[in-house]
Amino acid sequence: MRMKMKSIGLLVCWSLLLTVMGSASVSAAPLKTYVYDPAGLLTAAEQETLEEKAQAVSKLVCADLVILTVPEAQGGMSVSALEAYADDFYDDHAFGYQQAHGDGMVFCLDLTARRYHFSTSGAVEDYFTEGRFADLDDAVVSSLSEGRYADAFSAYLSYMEENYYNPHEHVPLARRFAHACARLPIIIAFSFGGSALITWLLVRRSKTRATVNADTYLSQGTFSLNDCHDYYIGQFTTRTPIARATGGGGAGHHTSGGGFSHGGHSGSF
Amino acid sequence: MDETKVFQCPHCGSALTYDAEKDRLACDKCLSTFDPEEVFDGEDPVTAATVEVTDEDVRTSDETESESTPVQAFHCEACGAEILTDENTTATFCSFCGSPNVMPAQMIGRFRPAKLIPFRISKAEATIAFRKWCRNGRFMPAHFASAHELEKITGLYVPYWLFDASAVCSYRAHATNVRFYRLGNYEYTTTRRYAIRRAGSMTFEKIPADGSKRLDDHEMDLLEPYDYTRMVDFKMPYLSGFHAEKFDVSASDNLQRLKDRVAAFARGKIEETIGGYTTVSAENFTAKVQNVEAQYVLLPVWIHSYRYRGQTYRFLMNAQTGKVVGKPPLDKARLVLCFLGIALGLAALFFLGGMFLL
Repeated sequence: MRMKMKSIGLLVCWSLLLTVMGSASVSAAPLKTYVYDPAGLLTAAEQETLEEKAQAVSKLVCADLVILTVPEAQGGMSVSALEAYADDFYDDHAFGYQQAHGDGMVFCLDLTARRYHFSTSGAVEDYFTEGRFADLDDAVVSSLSEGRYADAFSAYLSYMEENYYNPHEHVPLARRFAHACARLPIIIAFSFGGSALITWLLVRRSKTRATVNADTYLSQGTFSLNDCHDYYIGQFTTRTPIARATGGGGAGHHTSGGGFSHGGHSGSF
Repeated sequence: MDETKVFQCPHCGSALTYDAEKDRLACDKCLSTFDPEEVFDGEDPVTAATVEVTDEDVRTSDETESESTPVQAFHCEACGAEILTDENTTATFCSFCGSPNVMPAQMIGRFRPAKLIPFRISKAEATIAFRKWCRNGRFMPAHFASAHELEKITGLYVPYWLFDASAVCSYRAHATNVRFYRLGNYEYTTTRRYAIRRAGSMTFEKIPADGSKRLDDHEMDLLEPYDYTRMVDFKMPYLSGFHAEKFDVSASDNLQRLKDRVAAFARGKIEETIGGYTTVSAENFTAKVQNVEAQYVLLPVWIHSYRYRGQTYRFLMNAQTGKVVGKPPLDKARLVLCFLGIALGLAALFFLGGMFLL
């Protein structure tokens, strides 16, 4: 009995020691910073809120979501220069969820050039198609135009929270559920609209249509035309220039100066 | 008080009724059958007369309504009981002995039809069709298709006017042909404009228009077409076993309705001759309807009227071709339940889609 008590006590001590060591190692792990604002576009409070949100969303989606502003001194970059700036920043800081140069994304804003760039890496690079970049543009552009930069960065994080998943990994059920819940208003609207349409069609189906026409009662051989003329009056031609597609530019897959693969998409506001 | 006519079996004396499936008068008791053409109906056969209809013949509604008394009394030939009918009934059943009664006194002179199409669909077939129609109407009240309601389906010879008319018409329209093409950095649209002129004539035969005020004109139009090749000269024995009515809307009162239909048909025929344009917009269409002649006939219809929440709904069936017409009553509770059920199903489907189609 005594031996048993002793061994239980030893086991408890051992587990406590392990727990303390474990927590020490976790707290010792340096926390990454996700929000970089050398341009000073954000207040301290905004920066703090965004940092918290970026930490949480990055953890949720398993990808580093970085926010970066270009200092005024370096501002006014071209599309390609902004792309290189964002790629290099990502590479230099060795972002990537739980591994260097892994899955992640940088939202880089150059206010002087009124231009932004999304630099994607790893699984995030594979996830983003032109269509998804267009959706992301829609989410951030209005806030940027109105000078609400914190809102734009927050919208970017929210977009990633609601939409992004790693295309190469199994998505947890809770994440899928949250994804569907975020679309509940649209789901309800479409369900009611679709149901109204189906019900209307079901009610309408029971109505009878007329099955007679002129031929039903026309006496055979009595139809005759004594005037049948189509007169040409004239013509007019209009000319419109063909609209050429004008995108944000700079999008697509490429290799950065550091030798790492990146995707990207630029836009202006 | 006028006598009715009950067609009795020469073998057993029971009442004879017209059997749609056998196309003969049949006796339920001794199972004998007789050719309706050979059964004496008490009157000399009349030839199919036609009447010419002109605008001068059109009467006002006051003139039409002051013609006869609303209730008529007859003696059933089988049991002698008094049968009270409305002014337009020409064939019915005795409410005491159930015998099929035909009222010859109601079909004298201009009220005697020239021709009729006999029933081809029996009551059993009409009942099956009604059940099927009810199955399609998911939002009907549950008791609408009950056995009690099915019993109320009635075979009715509806008074009809068959019109012959010719139309002389002219048609003017503007048409365009639009062509798109690209050249260099520009897209060109060339629109060619045309003036369309058409004039022609045509003759229509046997356009039906019902001669009953009680029946809805639109619903009766939807029952068409009838196959006139099966039309026979009018003989009273065909009415035995069905309800029948005489007209209370004359041919001349139907004239405007006929003109509108002829004009619509004529316009359709003219427009068929215009083709190959991107757009056609009519400017002017005139149709002169002339040489209108009408023939008074009886056409067979299975009918069931239903009162629901203060409104009358009708099930109508062309008793020759089986075509069904009718607006079923809507049970709002069923409608709402169905709507919510579908909405819930769709929501579940979309939600699952949202979960798994990331």
